[in-house]
Amino acid sequence: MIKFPAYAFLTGLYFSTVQFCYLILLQMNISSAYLTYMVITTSWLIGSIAGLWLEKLDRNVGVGLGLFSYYSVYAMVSNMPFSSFTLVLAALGAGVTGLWAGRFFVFILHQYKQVDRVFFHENNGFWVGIVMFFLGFTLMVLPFVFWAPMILAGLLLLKHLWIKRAA
Amino acid sequence: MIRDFVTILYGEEVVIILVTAAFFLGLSMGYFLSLKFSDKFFHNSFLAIVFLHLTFPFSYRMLAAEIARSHLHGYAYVVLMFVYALIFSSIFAVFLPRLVHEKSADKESAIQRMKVLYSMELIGFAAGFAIVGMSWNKGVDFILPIYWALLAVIIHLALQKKTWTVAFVLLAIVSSNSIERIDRQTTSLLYKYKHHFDEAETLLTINSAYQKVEVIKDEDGELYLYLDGLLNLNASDLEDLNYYIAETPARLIKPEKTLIVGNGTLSSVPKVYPYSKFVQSVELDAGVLLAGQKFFTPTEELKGLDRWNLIIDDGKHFLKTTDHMFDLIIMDIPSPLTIQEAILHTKEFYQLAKSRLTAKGVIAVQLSGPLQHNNRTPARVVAALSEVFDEVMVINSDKADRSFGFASRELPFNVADMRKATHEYEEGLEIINPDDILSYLSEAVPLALDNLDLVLCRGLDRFTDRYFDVDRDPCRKVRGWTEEYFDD
Repeated sequence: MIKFPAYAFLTGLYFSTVQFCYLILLQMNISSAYLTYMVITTSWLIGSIAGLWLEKLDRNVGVGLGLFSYYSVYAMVSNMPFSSFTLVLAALGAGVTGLWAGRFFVFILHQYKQVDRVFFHENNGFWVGIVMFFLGFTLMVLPFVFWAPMILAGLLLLKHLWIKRAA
Repeated sequence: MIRDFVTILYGEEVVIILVTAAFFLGLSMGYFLSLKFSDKFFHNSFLAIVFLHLTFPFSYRMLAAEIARSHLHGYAYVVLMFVYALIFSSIFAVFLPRLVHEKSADKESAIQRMKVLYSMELIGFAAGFAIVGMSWNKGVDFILPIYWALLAVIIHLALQKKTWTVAFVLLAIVSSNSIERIDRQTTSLLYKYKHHFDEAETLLTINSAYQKVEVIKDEDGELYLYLDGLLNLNASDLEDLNYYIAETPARLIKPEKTLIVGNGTLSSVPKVYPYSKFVQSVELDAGVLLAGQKFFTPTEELKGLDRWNLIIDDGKHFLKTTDHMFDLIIMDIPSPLTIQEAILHTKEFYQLAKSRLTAKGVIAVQLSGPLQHNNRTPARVVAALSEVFDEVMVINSDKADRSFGFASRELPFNVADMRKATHEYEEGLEIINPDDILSYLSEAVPLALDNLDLVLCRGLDRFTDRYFDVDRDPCRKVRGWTEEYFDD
């Protein structure tokens, strides 16, 4: 049986981890100013709203696109730290990653009707992700920012395979 | 409210994470309970909670002060935080699932409703984000009336009962007249009991984009600057701090160009200015600058300093983008208790600073405590400096209650010069020769971008020690257990 609560939890964990990884990546390589936080959050929100209405956004494409954007931003800010135009491109990347944060709820409601439980499990994943990010980042720092989004996205894509088989 | 609780519990990163997680846990509780209760129960509990919101942030400050006054155990603060987190955030998580669930005949219509409603919620979040942005560097008297007005609209939309809306609006109007007064009184109360002041007067309490900035006056008229509840400095410490970190190296070097990173009070500017041909200040937080100019360095002291320039920017961004080379860089920033502050104490940051220093340029760093033979903050910062610079001199001041590090490719002054420059200010100042520094660092792991465990360990150490009387340094304990396990 598909464990949709676990899937929702894992998705929440992925969202908070990738969001905080974006933030710290930009704070380390562009600026710690409030503008960085504001740009990333706003872009993520816009991406989420757009994602809610993007009927054709497939689950694998949603996660994959988000991951691709994240590592593109990672490569860009690591190679060109503190360039003035990187924040704009990073905002675009965060927006693209945010698409799945909106579309996910539409996708999962198709599979799993209980809206309260979906938000509950996703939010639990999100706050556990906040704690995990803090522990992971302070203990591992850069390897965590590099590996954590990839591992979590990998687990999500695996889950997608199981969902497909069960469907 | 998260900022307020961080301030109550003192703002190390550990506390910030704990409080944020508690508020998200509150949302989870709301989602979990959202469809479990009848409409009547939901309406009644919603009403009770929104009326309770009129007591925020004063009620929990008073309760925290009472916990401190009654010497209750530290767990009481954590319980208080969780209770308020649940009250504050859980009720707002109830709406979306209920609204989607109600009036949705089938799955398709539920999904359609969810798309519309969740989009609206996210747009609302973005609007709220903008309002919060407008409230930076202002007191709660700016944002609370807006917040209460929004709550009144929610009451009206959720309950459709004019009586309750009108009652809430009237109470909000009455309360809004005394927000500033009560804000200052409850802040003072908190400082009196929790920070153990005999008398505390709140002169300034604002939220900047980065932290809560508070200026408190004690019974002797001494001023204290608190950032997220952590003491940043007081007026007398400031004298000693400025003397050692700014005035002394400036006098010894006579720099062409000086860069001051941090020092939001701007108090070191007049100390460095007479010895330097050009002084550049870089401070990130406009809220701290506001507090500094209002209470610590009056604008008159900075008037006419035409060889001085101030930029509001992140220190590392400035260093990476400036074309200037400096003879002296003064790092006047808080202890590495948060990730952002810790990054400014890493060897990678010092490498960046080194790239903007002239051949005999010096970076001066306050070490947040005395340098000892251990792996605590001062030793770890000095270890980071030692990895990057060829020469590091440390002075250990009893008067300033901390050590200061001076690092360079080739220090333009020696121990004798330092002794001569400081002997009148403090006799018996301990000066550690660059050749002897390594002997202090046998246990110290340099702070670096692949090693920021200090933020976690120091934060946990302070937090558990403060509230739970747990043995010091939980990280050291864990390391001990691990080593024991692997030895076995």
